Amino acid sequence: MSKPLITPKQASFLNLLGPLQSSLRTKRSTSSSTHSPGAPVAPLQSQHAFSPILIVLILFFASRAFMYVVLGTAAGDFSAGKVTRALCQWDCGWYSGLIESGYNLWPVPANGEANWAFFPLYPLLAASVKKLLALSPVIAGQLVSNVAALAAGFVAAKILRNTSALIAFCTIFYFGPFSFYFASVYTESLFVFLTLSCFLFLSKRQYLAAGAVAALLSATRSVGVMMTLVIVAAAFQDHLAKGNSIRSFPLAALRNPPLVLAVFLAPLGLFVYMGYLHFYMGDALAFSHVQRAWDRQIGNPFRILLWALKTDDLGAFIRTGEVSVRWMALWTVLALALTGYLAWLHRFPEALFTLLCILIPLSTHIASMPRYVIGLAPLLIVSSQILASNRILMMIALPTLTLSNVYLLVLWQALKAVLA
Amino acid sequence: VNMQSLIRNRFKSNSALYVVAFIIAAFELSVVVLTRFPQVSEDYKAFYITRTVSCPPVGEGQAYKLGTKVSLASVVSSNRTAYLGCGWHWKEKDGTWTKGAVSRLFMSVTPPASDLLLKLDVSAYAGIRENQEVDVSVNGTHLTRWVLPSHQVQEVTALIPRELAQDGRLEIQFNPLHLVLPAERGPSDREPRIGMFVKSFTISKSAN
Repeated sequence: MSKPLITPKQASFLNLLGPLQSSLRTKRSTSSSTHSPGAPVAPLQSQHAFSPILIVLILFFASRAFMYVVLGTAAGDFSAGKVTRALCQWDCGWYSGLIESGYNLWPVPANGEANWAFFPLYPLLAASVKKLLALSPVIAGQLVSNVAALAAGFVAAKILRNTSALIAFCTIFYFGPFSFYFASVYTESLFVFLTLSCFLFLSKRQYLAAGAVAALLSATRSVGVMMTLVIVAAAFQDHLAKGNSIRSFPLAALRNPPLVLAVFLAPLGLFVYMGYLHFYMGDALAFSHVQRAWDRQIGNPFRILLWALKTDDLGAFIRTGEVSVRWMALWTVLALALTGYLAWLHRFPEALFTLLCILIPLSTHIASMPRYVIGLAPLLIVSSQILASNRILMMIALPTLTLSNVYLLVLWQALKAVLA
Repeated sequence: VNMQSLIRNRFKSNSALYVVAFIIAAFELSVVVLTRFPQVSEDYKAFYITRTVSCPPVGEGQAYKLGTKVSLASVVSSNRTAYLGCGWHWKEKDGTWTKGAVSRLFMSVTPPASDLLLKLDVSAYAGIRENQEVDVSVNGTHLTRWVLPSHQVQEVTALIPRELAQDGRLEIQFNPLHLVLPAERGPSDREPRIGMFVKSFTISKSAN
């Protein structure tokens, strides 16, 4: 059996991601990676050869220029309006409607679909930007998405204190497959930004701050509420790392007021939205009940995954870009494998978060799984670390991932069902 | 900047953190309780919660001027979908097929002083059967059953008692009894089953 890229000891969650990255490349301990989990966290020491801010800025703006060229070429029209519209497909229409006129009282008569399914924080931010800057809903939404994507890059630069890993992260996040979701009117970039921020605060044991950010996360997407469990898991891991027993954890947690507040704060976004829905249209669970209109109902996620893997439609997707459930299933398998890897590295809070964020939507349908997977920040981070651990792997993978996104982006602007 | 310190400085003591946590928990618990008591219509409950019907609830619907002929052909109608509820197939050149066991039209009208007459230009399809049968009801009240010879374009009518439209809301429901798969597409469980092809409809004041 080959040697692991990262040893579990090096990869302790509380030593977190940055020092882990340097240990990946140098195979020796850094000052941070030898940090005892129980002791106060030392100030972060950057090991970037270049300014991380500059790396993020350059790659972000280069990616947007690249996306503009690809979309303009595919559409045969480089006008800003055309490119903006080409980027706005599928759920972008729902979000644009939400930004423009808020939640509807009635569903679509033909099928029962309604915008209650979409959580409020992102459209609320975009609607504010729209009003402040007098923009169209689509432009306002894209502005929020891109600012969130840029901010996520900056947070990643704080986490990944190694130039290669940061470059890998920015390449995957800004150029990689499905990266256009982070530029379109979707919640994905905000979700990644908030998730990364949460984990950054958790790495410093700032539970209250993590709880506050998690509250925003739970107002962004329904699975964001799972960060509540992650906060508990991180505190539990911290508790054990200090040499305490499992049985003493409940009492110790209750004696930690910031942790107690964080745990109740984290799901607040979801509960505020539920309260709003109850008083607006009479059903606090409307966001969940409306899933019926998209044929989503709870089932066994592994049975759904197995069914999707058994289908024989990958060829049609490769040839013509038709919808392929096996393609979606393969992305899910990749995500589960990376989640397993996180667990093997003892990065349990991250593993728990990604596992729940995969299994919950998967338990209702295989549709949209690639989008859900690409928006999982811990997977973006660990993928960057894996790629950065091997220079040859990185040199092959990054251009390949970028090219794959060109194909997907062309399909996207042509409204192919593969990306629904 | 230590965000946690910033937040904690807002509170004078740990007790304050517990109090805030308690208030938030009480709010969240009250929302959980609210989920047990949805205040929604029976239509909403049946479609979204118990999942016992196939048609979603609809609002008032677009205003309809009595006597207006509405074509369901894709080539001429720009706002026809405003009257279509659930149970309609994709638009076709001359009209629209019903899809599944329930198809609905809905609209708001001025409360009529007399009975109304619903008129449809239709063509039925019942596979190997000679006739298609379609139950027609308005606002939940059964009006009639049409027996329609297959493949014949014809005009069919139903009388709508004025009492049914007194609240200005019309929800017209068609239930084709013999659903069939589109013949040209071959058998498939995933194909929607059709029954009646509607070219246009008109609702006018009854002459009687």
